Formats: sequence, structure tokens, C-alpha cells
Amino acid sequence: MPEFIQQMINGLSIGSIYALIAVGYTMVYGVLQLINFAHGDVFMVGAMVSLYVATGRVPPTMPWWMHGIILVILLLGWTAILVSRKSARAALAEILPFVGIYVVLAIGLWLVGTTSHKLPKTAWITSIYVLIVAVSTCGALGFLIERLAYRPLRDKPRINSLITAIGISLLLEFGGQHRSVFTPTPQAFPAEMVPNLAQPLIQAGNIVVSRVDALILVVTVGLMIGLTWIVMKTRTGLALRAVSFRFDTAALMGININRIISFTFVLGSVLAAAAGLLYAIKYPSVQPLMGQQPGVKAFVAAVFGGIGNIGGAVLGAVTLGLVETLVTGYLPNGSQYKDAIAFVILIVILLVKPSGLLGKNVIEKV
Amino acid sequence: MSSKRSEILPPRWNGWLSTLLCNLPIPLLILLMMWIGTYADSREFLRQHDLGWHRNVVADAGYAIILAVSLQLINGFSGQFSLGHIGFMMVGGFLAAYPVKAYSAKYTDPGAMLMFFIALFITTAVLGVVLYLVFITIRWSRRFHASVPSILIAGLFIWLMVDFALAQHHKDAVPWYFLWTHGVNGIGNLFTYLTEHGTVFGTKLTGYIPSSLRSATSILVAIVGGATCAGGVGFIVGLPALRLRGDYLAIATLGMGEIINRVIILTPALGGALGLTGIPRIRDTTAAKEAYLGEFAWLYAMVIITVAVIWRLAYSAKGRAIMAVREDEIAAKAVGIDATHHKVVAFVIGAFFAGVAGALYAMQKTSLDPKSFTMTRSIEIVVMVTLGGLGSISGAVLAAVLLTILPEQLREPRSAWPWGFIVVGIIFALLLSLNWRRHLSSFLVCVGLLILWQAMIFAAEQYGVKLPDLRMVIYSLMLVLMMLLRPQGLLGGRELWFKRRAPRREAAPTEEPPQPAMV
Repeated sequence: MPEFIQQMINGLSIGSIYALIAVGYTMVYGVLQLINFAHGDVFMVGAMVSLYVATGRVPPTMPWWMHGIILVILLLGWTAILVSRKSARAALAEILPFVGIYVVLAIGLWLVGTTSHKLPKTAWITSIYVLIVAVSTCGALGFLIERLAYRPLRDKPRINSLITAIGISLLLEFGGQHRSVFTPTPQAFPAEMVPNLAQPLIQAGNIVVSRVDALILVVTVGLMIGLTWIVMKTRTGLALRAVSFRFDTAALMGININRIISFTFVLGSVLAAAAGLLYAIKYPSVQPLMGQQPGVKAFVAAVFGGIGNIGGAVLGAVTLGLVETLVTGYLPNGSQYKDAIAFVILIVILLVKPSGLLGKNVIEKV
Repeated sequence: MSSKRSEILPPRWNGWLSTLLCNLPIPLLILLMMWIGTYADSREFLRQHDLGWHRNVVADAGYAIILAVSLQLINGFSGQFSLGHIGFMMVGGFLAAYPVKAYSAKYTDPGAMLMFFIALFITTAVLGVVLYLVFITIRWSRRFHASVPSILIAGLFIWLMVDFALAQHHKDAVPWYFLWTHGVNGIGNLFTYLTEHGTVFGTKLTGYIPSSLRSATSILVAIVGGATCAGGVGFIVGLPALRLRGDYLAIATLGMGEIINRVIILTPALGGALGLTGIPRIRDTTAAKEAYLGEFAWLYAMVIITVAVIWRLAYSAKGRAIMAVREDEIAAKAVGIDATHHKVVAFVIGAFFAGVAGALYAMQKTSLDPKSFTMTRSIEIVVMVTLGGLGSISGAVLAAVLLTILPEQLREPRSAWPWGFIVVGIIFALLLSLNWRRHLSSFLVCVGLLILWQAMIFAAEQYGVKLPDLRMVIYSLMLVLMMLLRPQGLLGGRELWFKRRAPRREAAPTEEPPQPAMV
């Protein structure tokens, strides 16, 4: 029995990491009906950025030619919008968010680059600092991905967005493997930046609740409460629900669809970044391909719970985490089946109840 | 009694001669490919030209074409979005390679291989009949109460688990009432019995085949057998999965592909996690007396057969039915098209040809590693199909070739001057002379891409950037840009070469008087 409880605790902690990623998948699907394949790689970027900030290896400035390239691209983009028969003012409004992101990133890079290596090695302030930097980087990344790769294709067949999603995913993976970005080799993550991480939090007989698992649970629950508050209690959340309920009617009701979709992507990416940091603390070895497996599993979890449903995604992710740990722990040769179990669950749920555990059955009309 | 053909086609195209003439290019092309391929694999050619790297690219392009065209049938024509195509290739590869390795070393014993496949099919058929009976019983039990089937399924599942778990404790003799254990053992014994006796008979059968044809027959049996297995798996997977639509189907096929991968990894006979190695190579069959066909001959003959079969299917009456289901399933059903039948047919034929590619791959690469058949590979095939344009076979061929060559070219980027420009110039001189209005924009895009390519190489040289490192980055960027700039794909659902025109009105004699023309 103690072993069983121990397994449950493990499963719960890995399940809540999946939940953080799955929420991103499910929100994007709810709003756009798009499988955002790049989401697992946003999770990876979150972990990698955390690593570089935590070890104080962030350069304070970009190389000059990078500034040049970005400025040229911005200028070209502005001209392209101008050419497509819009007024200079409208073109400026289109390009302004990118200019904003560029300026904020440049200033942020300078701030982080000059302060990160001065932080203490082990302190709560460091962890929170790392979390904030990772979260804001990934938020900007999510915004950019949506704006550049998905928005132009929104009225085209959905398979096209799927292909660009795959393209962005490959770009992040292989770009991250380049030796001047993250390098392909796995790197050790300084998990000791969270104080007293190695000591167990609670020890009762054979059952150990480690501080890592407790941290993961606390952060996940906190973020989930925050998310629920945003979705349920704010005006933006109301608009988000309206858009995911019916896209065009929401537009007719005066909701700025583009803003809401950008917001959804930012929200999802923020949660993925937090998940990346937590994952890196639990398994302290990070590399540019680390996003693939958790990404696919979180996606399965989202489908399992009923894609488009936030509560369902959390339920599905926690169930998946538990099932995975139990299979690994109790079946003979269980670790071989560990990765397959997600897909078996996927197939069974799709054949028995395609709308997922908490999803609504959509009636097809002619 | 007029045939359907005479109703569709104008009379001058009707008759055996024109049928022959229409279809003649296909066998001629196959013969030509076999001839070129055999020469390209001959000892003299290999001795004169050291082209190992290029040969691999050409071979990979062949597999990519087969896979892309067969997926085009599923994704483009029947509109079922499948993300697990590599799973069928894997089934074809492993189930062709296993008998080749086990029964027909150096491709000497086609009879034994044939009997292995027959044994496999008989066993599967027996298993299928039993499972089908169980399924029918469960469905039939619904008459008593709606909840009975699910109770039966749950009970059956528990019975299965208990049966297997308890049977382990009876080491020597399992009592008769362990029905499931006996059933599974029986199926296994049946297969062993059939293969043991069948292959002995098969070896006798081989004696009747002239020795000069044995290796060719062997290869053919392996390809067709492996492909049939893949088609069968496609049927088993497709029948339930095709109830799903759109994204859900994509996810389900993705999962199916991964599960096929896992099942093969967990099967010790197929090499487990290490995969199969030491599969005899087609090139190694060469004996002085035998009629010899090279690897390229087999590969490109199969490429042409695949393209021809799928072309003829897609633009036939059946193909129109398949496309009707894609456009609007409910409307298609309303005019009497069996939607499930047409979806499954497209799926099974697509899976079959993926199996052909797998079998050829196994017999050329000599080893199969299950870890290399991942989701990423399936996605690559989907990318080829989408980039070529959904519903365009020539587009799939074009994109398959392009996406195989491009990453390889990026390994060692070479200047496109002057040959790239010359080739593009010749192609477009032809196209522009036919219809300059239509092709001018693509001409400009091509020239622009060439200039971009040159600029990239020049910049890389100037600043000492190693382009091979950025290979996949450039590849993925191009993917995204292609989709943003040309979302309908290269050919956008049209074909590059001619399509049979719609018949002229006066050609088909009708009984009604002609309708008055609309003014």
C-alpha cells in the first residue's frame, strides 16, 4: 500500500505538468479548432530559457547584425502591408505590436543579461526571477507564432495551419539544436536554485513527499486557480469563452477576435513555460528535443478529457499521469509500455467516446 | 447492350485498339524503367561511376514518391486525414523482410515464402472469423437490453484477464476450461503447423520454377505479400477509425501508427527493439545465370505501377465516388454512394502501396530499425502531399522529389549557376510558350527562389556560416513560407499533365431531344 500511495504521488506530479501543457492545447483548439503542434516546443523553450537565466549565461545584447535583420524585416513587413492597399496608419497599427515586442525584448535582454549572473545560486528570488523571465519570453513567442504562422492562414483549409504548425515545431527543434542557440547535447539544469530541494517535505514511514512534487503541485494548482479566475471572472475571459462557443457570432457581438486569439496563445504559452521550468526541476536534464514526448502526451490528455474543455484537459492529464506511473510500476516490463499507454488510451477513447470524457457531443447538421 | 465506356467516351475512343493505345504507355514506361534501373545497378556501371550518395537520394525519392502518391489517395482524394502512414510502411517492410530472412535466404525459395504468407493469411482469417463471431454476438445481445453489450464486453475483458493471469500458474498442463489461453495457444500452434508443413511443400513448389526466375519471383512474392499484410492492417485499422472525422481521425491514425510501432518492437520474431538486420539485398541475388533486375528496376517499376494504379483509380467512376464522399458525405450518401465502402477502399489501397514501399525499403537497406519509423516520418509524407497540392497526383510526385532532394542538397549546398538556371529556363521556355499568362507568375517565383538560393550561398561564404548546420532550419522555414505564400500547394489540386477531357455532347447519343440553349 505505501508503494501504491508513493506511485500515486509521482503520477499526480507528472500529471499536473501534463495538465499545464494540455490546457494550452485545449484552449487553442477550443478557439481555433487547430492542433498547435508547436506547443510542445514552446514548453522546451521555456525550459531552455530557464536554464540560461538560472546559470547566468544570457548575453546582455544581441549581435549588431541581428538588430539589423530584425529592423529590415520590420521595414519590409510594413512596406508589404502598405502595398496591400492599406493606409500608412493601418499599416503602422499592424506592425506596432512587433516593434513593441522587439523593443521590450531588447530592453529585457539587457536587463536580464546584466542582472542574472549576480543572483544568488540558491534562493526563492532566483526561482521566481527565472520563472518570470521564462514566462514572458514564451508569452512573446506564443504571440509571434500565432501572428506570423497561423493568422495569415485562418481562412484557409485547416490542414495548412497544421503544416505551418509542424514547420514551426521543426524550426524550434532544429533551430534550438544549432550550436549557437542551445546546442544539441543534454545539459544539467541547476535544480538546486530552489532552496532545500533535496530534503523530503513529509516522510511518513515509506511514503515520501519530495519537495519537487509538492512544488509542482502547488504551482500547478496556483496557476490553475489563476486561469480559472481569468476565464470565468474577467471580461477577456468572457470574450474567450464566447469566441470558443461560436467564432463568427462572437465577432458580430463586437469582440475583437484577433486580440482574443492572441491572448489565448499567450496564456497557453505562459502555462507551457511554467511547465517547462517545473519539468526541468523534476528531471534536471534539458535538451532541444525534450518537448516532443510531453507535448504528445499532453495532447493525448487534452483529447482524453474532451478537447476544447479546460477542466477536461486537467482531468485527462492527471489521469494519464496516474495511469502511466501505475503501468510502469506494476506491469511486468511496464516501462516498455509506458509511452504506448498514452496512445492506447487515445484510441480507446476515440472509438468509444470521441468527444472525450467531459466533451460535448456535437450533433451534425446537414 | 452498350457498355459504360461507350456512354462516357466518344465513339472514336471506343474499341480494343484505342484501349490498348491508351494504356500502352504504362507497360512501356515500366519496361523502360526496368531497363534503365538494371543498367544503373549493373557491375560495369557501378565500377565506372562512384555515385553512392546520389544513388541513395534517387532511391529515397522513389520511396517518397510511392508513399506520397498512396497517401494522396487517402488524404487528397478521399479526404480522410491520415497521420499514420509510416505504420503501414513498417508493416510491409517487416512482414516482407521476415520471410525473406527466414525462408528464402539470397532469394532462392519463393515457394516457401509464398506458403509462409498463405499460412499467415489463413491464421489471420481464422482469428478474424472468431473475433467477428464474438463481435456479432455482442451486437446481437443488444436486443435484450441496451446495456447488455457493454456488460458483455466488460465481462469478456475480465474473463480474458483472469484466464491469462491464472493460466500462468499451471506450468505443465493447463486445464481445459482456460478457453482463452487454449484459444491463443491454438492459433499460435495452427500458425506454426501451417508454416512448418507449408514451407516444406513450398520448397517442392520452388522446384517447378525455372531457376533463372527464382530470385525475381521471390522478390515479387515478398513485395506483394508484405503489401497485402499492410493492406490488411489498413483494413483492420481503417474500418473502426474511419467512423471518425477530421482532426479526430488524424489523431487516431497518429496513435495507430505509434501502436503499430510498439507492437513490432514488442514482437521478438521481428527483432524486438533492435529491428531486423542482415536482410538479403536485392543486389546480392546476382548470379551469372539468373535473369537479373537491379534494385532500381524494382523500385521504379513499382513507382510507376503505384502512380498508374492510383491515377486510374482516382480518375475512374470509383474515384469520382471517392471524391464525392470527400466533398460532402451526406450528399454522397443521398445519391446512393456507400461512403464507408469508398473510404475503406481508398484507405486499404493507400496502405497497400505504403507496404510496397516498405518491402522495397527493407530489401534495399538490409536493416530495419523500428526507432526510425516515427511520427515525424508520417508527418513528412503529409507535408509532401500538402505541398504538392491536395488531390493532385503529379503534385505529390513533384513534392516528394523536391523534399527528398532539397534537404540533401542543403548538406552540400552548391551553386545553382549555371545549371539550375538553365534547367528552369528550358522548362519554363516550354511552359511559357504554351501559356505564358498562366505560368508567368510561377516562372518569376522560380527565378526569385534561385536568386535567393545564390544569395544564401554567397552570404554563407562571406560570413563563414556553415549551411549544413542550418539544413533543417532552412527546410522548416521554407515549409512555413511555402504554406504562407502558396497555401493550395504547388499544383493546387490540378494535374501537371493531361487529363481526359469531358466528352463532347454530340458524342453520347441521348434519347431525349436536345435541350434548347440558354440565352
